[in-house]
Amino acid sequence: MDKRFKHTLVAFKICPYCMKVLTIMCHKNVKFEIKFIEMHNKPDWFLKISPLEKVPILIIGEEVVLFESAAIMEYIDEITPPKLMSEDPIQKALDRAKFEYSNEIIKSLYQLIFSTEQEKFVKIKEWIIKRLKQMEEWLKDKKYINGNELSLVDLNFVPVFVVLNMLKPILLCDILKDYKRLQNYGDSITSLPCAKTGRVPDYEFLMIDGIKNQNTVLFRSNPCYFNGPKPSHCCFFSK
Amino acid sequence: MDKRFKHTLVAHKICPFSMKVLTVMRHKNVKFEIKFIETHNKPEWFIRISPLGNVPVLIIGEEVVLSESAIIMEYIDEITHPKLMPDDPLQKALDRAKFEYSNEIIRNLYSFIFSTEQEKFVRQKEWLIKHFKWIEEQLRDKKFINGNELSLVDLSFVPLFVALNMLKSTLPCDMLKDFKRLKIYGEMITSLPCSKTGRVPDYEFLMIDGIKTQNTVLYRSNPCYFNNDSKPQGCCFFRN
Repeated sequence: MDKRFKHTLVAFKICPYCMKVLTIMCHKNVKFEIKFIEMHNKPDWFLKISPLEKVPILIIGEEVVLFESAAIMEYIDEITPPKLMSEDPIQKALDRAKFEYSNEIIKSLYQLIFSTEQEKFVKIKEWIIKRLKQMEEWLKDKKYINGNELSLVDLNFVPVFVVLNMLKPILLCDILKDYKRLQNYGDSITSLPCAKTGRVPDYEFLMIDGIKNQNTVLFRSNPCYFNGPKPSHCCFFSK
Repeated sequence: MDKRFKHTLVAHKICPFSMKVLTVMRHKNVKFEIKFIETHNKPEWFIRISPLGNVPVLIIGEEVVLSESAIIMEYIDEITHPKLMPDDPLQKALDRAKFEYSNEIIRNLYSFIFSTEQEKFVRQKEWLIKHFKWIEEQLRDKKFINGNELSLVDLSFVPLFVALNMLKSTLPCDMLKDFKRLKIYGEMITSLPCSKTGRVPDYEFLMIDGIKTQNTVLYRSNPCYFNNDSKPQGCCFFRN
């Protein structure tokens, strides 16, 4: 294979933005290599090529380095026709805004999951539920976010629902319980082949391990889940 | 004018991301109306239409709402030929990454300017200098960031140099003093007509007022500059 076109994705195993890129790469059948690095021990070669020291980055050939998950996703989409992105400037702009919107939800979900302070946990949960309510409205009479066709926007939301699925047994109080359309939507996009293969096999294990080791609110409110037989009700969200 | 195509930009007067959009709109001669809002007192109608509550927001016609400065800039570029953005997918991706990079630098610069904690202030200054060094390298043998032609990436960096120029005139601390290429580049892009007209006339005044009234480290270390006393001999804070 011509070395100029080799794609190397640099990622953290549990990074949801990396998951977005992996999802589209699997969807579009792109051949690539993944280099996993540690979040708390970034190698020098990485610091030299990634100005903001963030993942994911996509190295093309030996020298070209792309960063920002949305930019990488659009690039992958464009070099593997047929494109998922629309040609219409307004629709493109609306879709890109939704990429950013999904980033905000994902950021908050991770803050929620790894939160060590109860007050902050409650505030973030409320913020997320507000956004989910918004999304439930978007999905009225629609199979996917933009209508009846799968778009790049839907692939952006895959990590949101992968995480919510992971949280379901832990929280015991389904954040999505009042949102029927979102539940159906989440099931539909997480069942896509690319959603299943677009992450490391040990993602859930590493997340649960992190929740436990970082003495998070989640862990403290449900130690039984992490340490032993399943409890009969949710210790934290008692209603 | 067909109401469906009326462009209304919702912005905050000192918001650098709003400034980016204003710069492109001026560069491309787009006709538009600006509605200024207060960030600490957002009106109901704005909260309803802006999904994440951020400025800038571009309202097209009566209903379509675009948010995020980079997204709005690309949209404006696309509907006004000739396009500044390249057609090549790789170059586009590199440019989009640079938009976000400029956002990070600008975010940190504003955080530095309005910092009230000395330790944080010093750390942010170091972070900024580190990144100025990186950009200085990128500008080697190049007139603009992408080579010899002006691109959307350059317009993305305008607010950075507008803010640095404002700081320079306020304090005798030139953060760019060790970066010759950056200085020349900054002077050049801030001399563009769109740079001069792409912000409110009271931007510098409002920034300096904010620095003073928020009891920032900048103000505390150089009160003389803000209180109209005769200029002191040296910079109180950045002793080198």
